[in-house]
Amino acid sequence: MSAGLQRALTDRGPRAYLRGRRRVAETTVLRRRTRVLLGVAGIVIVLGAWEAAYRLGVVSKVTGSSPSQIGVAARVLVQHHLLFPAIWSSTKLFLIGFSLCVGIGLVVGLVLGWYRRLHAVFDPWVTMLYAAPRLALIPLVVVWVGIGVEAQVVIVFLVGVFPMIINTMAGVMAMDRTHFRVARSFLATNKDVLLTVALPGALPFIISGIRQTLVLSLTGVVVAEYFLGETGVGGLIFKSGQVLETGQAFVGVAIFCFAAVVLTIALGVVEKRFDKWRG
Amino acid sequence: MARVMEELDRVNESATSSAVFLAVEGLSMTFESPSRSGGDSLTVLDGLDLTVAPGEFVTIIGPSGCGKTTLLNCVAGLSTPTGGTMYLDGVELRGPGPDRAVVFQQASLLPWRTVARNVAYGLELRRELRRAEIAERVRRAIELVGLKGFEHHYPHQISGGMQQRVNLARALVVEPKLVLMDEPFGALDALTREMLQDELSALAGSVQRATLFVTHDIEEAVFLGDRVVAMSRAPGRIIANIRVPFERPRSRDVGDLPEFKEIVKELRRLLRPVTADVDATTKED
Repeated sequence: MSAGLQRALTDRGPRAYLRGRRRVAETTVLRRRTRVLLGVAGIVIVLGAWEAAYRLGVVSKVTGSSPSQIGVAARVLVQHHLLFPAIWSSTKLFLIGFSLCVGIGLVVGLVLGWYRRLHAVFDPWVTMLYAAPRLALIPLVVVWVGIGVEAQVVIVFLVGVFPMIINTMAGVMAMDRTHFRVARSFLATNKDVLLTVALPGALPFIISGIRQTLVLSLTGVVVAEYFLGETGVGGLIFKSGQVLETGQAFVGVAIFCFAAVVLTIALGVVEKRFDKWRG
Repeated sequence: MARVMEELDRVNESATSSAVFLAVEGLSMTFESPSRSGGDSLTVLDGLDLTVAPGEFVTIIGPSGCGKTTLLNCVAGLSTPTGGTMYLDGVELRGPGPDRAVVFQQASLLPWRTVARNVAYGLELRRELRRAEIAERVRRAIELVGLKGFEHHYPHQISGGMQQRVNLARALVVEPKLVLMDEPFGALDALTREMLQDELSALAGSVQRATLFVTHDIEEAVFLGDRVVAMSRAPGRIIANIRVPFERPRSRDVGDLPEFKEIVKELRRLLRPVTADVDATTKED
């Protein structure tokens, strides 16, 4: 026993050295219903405070907006047949861009994770491009591809593809050596190992990659629509902002938020299906 | 060259004769040091000879690092030896083959496959049987290792002992001529280990199949083996070759027989590290 501890025990009585320390409490486990209620309450309180701030003039009526004003703006946009065509245009761009990110990212990630020499050659490039502000390439994309839908797809792809490549690659490379030996002892071919060991093992990584790519693809859609042609919901936000129609701009923002939440939940459902085997 | 050919002939002869099923001749394994600047290379096996008769259960025992796992990996074809030759039933071994199956030290089950699909894994990779036949063989193998009712469990849902049973079933289901077992019960608690030893002993007794079983547990080696091969510290050499004179399958009571205890004692004496003797003498001074 150390001298200090000995003194603490004898001078100030047992456990004196523990006094005045905040000890960790029992972890609180909330029921699902409680969690949902608290979440909804949080949203309602924030929106209510915002509405109140707008009506009381805390927020400028010219440049600011409020939940009710956003509702009005949405109705106006629908009446002028502006909202749904914009949503459809953005949806198309997202679906094409996101699919390309996932498809090409998966194949590239598998190849780079599987062939160590290719990995050695291309890993610096992937790391560099992932770290670089790829939006700096927009002027070049305009020069090479123009400002049409193709250019927008290229932007979404550049913004979204890297997490897919990097996660898939990491998943394949993290293959369990003992599983590899089991497969080899049963005379597995390269293709067998890829399909029965590497790919299923990489699945959690791949899903994590899809999650990141999903969010980045949405960002890519907004950026592409801002800078190239001002189309879709992103274009709507951009044009509304320029003419101080903040309510309309917020409609666009709300749509993107909603899309992100819905897509993430959908991915969670898919993930659960593959997750039975994890303890 | 002529000498090598002569030796090959001799090995071929002994391998094809009825008494030898597996013949390992002059097996050597040297691991080069990973640094290029001429660090020490490590010789784990140096000219090791070993034979296994048809249907024989041979246990290999030795201190950790003596190369017993390396020996098993070489026979399994999972490691390429730096020297020596191996013959199984007269056929030279190069790389993994359908005639051998390995029961790994860790259960190494694929966590995304159920028990049944893990057992089926080897058969699926070999692509020799139809689905229905695989299902039937898998069903029988699962029953054999006492896992009936757990077919659809995932590995994380069953205990370590049950995982090792799956590991065993996965090897037996491909009906190998030679089973290679690498300390399969080493990580289990004592009770589970004894139970699995009993079952393995019964299983091995019922089928004429040769087994090479690596362990560092002396009682386990004597209880399971028709013959116990003891290896020295690296570079691993065979220092004893002891026949265990009891019929298989054996009951636990075998452990109480004086002959059993005598063999265990002899092995313990052989395997005692030299440094321990030195310690003992210095203490006496």
